Amino acid sequence: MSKQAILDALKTSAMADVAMPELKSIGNQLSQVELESRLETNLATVAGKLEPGGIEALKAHTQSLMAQGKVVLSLVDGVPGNRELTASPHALADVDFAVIPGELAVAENGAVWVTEAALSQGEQAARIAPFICENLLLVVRRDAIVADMHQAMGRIGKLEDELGFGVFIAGPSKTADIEQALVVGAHGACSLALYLI
Amino acid sequence: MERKVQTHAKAAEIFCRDESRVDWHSKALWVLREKRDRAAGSLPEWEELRALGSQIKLHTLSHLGQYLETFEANCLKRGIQVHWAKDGAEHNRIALEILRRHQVKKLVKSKSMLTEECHLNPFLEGHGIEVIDTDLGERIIQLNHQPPSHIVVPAIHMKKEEVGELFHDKLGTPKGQSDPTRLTRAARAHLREQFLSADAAMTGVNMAVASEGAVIVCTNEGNADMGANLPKLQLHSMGIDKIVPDMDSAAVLLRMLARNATGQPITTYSSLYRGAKAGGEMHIIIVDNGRSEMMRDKILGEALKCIRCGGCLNTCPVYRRSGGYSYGHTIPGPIGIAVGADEDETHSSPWACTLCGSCSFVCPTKVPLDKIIFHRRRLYAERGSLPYGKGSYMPLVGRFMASETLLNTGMAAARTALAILPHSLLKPMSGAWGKYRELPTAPGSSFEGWLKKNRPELLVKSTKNSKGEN
Amino acid sequence: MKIALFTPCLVNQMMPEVAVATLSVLEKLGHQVIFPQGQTCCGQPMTNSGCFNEAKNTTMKLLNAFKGVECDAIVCPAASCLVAAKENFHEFDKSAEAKAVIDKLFELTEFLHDVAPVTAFRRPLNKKLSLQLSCHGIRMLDLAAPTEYMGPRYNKMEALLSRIDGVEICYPERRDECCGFGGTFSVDEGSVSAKMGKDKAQAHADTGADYAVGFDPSCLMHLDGTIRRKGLAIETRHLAQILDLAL
Repeated sequence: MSKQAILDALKTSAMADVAMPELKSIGNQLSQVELESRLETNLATVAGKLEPGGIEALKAHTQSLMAQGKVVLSLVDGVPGNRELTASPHALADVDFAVIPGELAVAENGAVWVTEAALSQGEQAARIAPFICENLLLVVRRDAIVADMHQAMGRIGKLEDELGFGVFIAGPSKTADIEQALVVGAHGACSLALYLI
Repeated sequence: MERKVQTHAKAAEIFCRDESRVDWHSKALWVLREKRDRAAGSLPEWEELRALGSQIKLHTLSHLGQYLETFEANCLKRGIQVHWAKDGAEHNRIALEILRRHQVKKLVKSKSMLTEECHLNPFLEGHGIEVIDTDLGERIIQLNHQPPSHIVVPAIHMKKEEVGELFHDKLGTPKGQSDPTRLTRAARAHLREQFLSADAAMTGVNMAVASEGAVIVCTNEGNADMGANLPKLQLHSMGIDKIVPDMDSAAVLLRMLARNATGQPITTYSSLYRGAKAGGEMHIIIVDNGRSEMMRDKILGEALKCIRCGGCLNTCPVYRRSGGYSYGHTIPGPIGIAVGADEDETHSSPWACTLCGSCSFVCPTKVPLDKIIFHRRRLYAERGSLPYGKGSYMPLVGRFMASETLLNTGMAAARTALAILPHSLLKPMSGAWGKYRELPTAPGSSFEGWLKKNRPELLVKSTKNSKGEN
Repeated sequence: MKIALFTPCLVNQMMPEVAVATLSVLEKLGHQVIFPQGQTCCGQPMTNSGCFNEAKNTTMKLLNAFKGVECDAIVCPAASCLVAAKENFHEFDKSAEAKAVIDKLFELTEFLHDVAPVTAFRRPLNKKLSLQLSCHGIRMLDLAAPTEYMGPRYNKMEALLSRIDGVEICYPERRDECCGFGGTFSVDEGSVSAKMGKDKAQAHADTGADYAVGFDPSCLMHLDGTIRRKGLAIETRHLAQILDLAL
């Protein structure tokens, strides 16, 4: 009933008819070198870090973390972890490090697009994984870096039918709510490292 | 949490009594403006983005009914339950009904100015549901029993020592602890418990993508996602003005939102919710609450282009020197006057503005804020509900200004004495003026008087104006 | 060119020296100046308070003072009044005659920069000037690119003044933040207005400049009242007064 009332009220709108602008031409084309260097710079501005060494470095890193007794949840094929997804998202509260694949990375702001499909293991899926972990290790293919959000949305395109959740993650969680002092580590991960493969 | 009914000028006068605090407040917000300038300036296409942002929003508003229906249809396809509320009360009833159906005892909420506007928290609390605001700033003011004083940094009015005191009281942090990092860690631990024990989560919506049936929620802290992704039940409240046509439109706005708010290239999390988690339920409540009414006035309607970045508050010289609580409405600052002036019983908030226009130039979607504020003044004048005695003295000023004789003799007298005008005419020239500033030094004669004496040959008279005084 | 002077009531009644300087500048530049009598207020104090009915009489009288007056341009040394006059003339009179007046209206800075550009100054001026970028001039008349704006930079007052030998130009911190005058705002919102004025006056004084120079007399009057109350070591000058010294 209220739906109809709202739609009826909108018919009396005085807003002049404005055409949808053309959005395809905006944005930048960058070389691979520029893409990687801007990504690194901008990831740093959002308090994240681009780690060198690719997948091998990541594997070595998680091995060493596990040796130190850390809880590592890995959702990246070939990268070992010591924690499995279960039916309860709450159970992930003890994860020290989550290793998660991103679909693409955005050079202009350091953001990595992570989708629901990547947040699963066998039958289990957990949208909470990249948020609840203490530290986040993201993996993105080198050829999946785009210049800006226009290109990112262009790649994501018409969303796949099964996609129920996706998130751009730019650095670790942070806040400046107390006197504008930047504090890294609010409710989500306290650190974020990105590995390019 | 009740606001005192007083004019903006009165509240501002009280705020201004502590000048060092005014300076501190003004500077904290100006730092955000400076960060915004650097971030916006780093994009050569910034002004192009603003133009596109404005057009996208105008286009969407001019086809809003159609886009809302598309949005709903796409949501339903994804199994999202969509509800429509014509006002705040209906929004609150719908939310309560959903929460009751799931026997929710504790709701974690992430920042939503809409639910502030609807006064959802006290309503749910009155019905026995515990509501936890999870944005750090929001949690601080919730514990302090205050509404937000800013739409992006809601506790900007509090000093770290005051937050330390509050946390000592409510969260048991050590007395005297005022280091922002330590206080934030304490809040993280406290809110982590809340997230893990909540029965449902509610978030606001930054953008609702019509073509996908998805909502985009932006936070830096991750509180919206920590909330929405743990319990089975998630709710999202959105104003009808949050619709964008598609993902490409969202890209334009996402590029500007955080840059204009805090100078970040993007918020830490820009999450797209497009269906419930496995075994869960997702609800979206679409709220009008006066928005469609605003759109019946094409000037006021442009206020709905706003994407709530808060940039206009940060740049506003009046907001920075009067604080968020000086306005008699939920949203303070220029955008608050534009969308919320009707909430102010004193009708004074549209006058909390010098019409400097900085807000309109800062705005990423080109909301013509100064024009809207100017228009609101006219609407009040037409309704005969002007503040500050303007209704009685403005006609006198108008008559005075329109009469050469009165103007010349009156101002000649003012020049000699600066004090013998009737009070109604004196008001714009002295009173508050003389309290803070020296009165103008009086020249010997008017310019026209000078001309008559020294250059009479320059004087001409239009035939239109030869009728003299009326 | 033949120029009709538009001197807003504030300038005419309280700051005649600004009009005298404007007249002098225009005449030194070889223009013929006339002064149409019967000029009243542009209506801004009323329309800024929403009171359009109360503004109509005075606005129409001002407009009529210029109708039919033979001239190439109508020049006003007050940006805010000029903007209000343009808008209010259009609001109350949509005739061709009114449009003819509106089309000839120019603020002094834009006239000297765009319409009849001043390229050279005769006399040097060894002064440090802190420029007062008043709001309506920059944000409604395009006299300078406001700091919020990320498009091309331009600044017509600076361009004019920088052509004078010896002049050193500087800006107050928060260079184009409003001075807090705002017409009736200065009395309706006395506390905030005074604080804004104080901050702006202090910022000008902190530059160590000899003069705070601007194109809007009302803002200058506000700053002057604050500067004198605070005993700050700077004085205000209208752009016309500075240009007059150098021509």
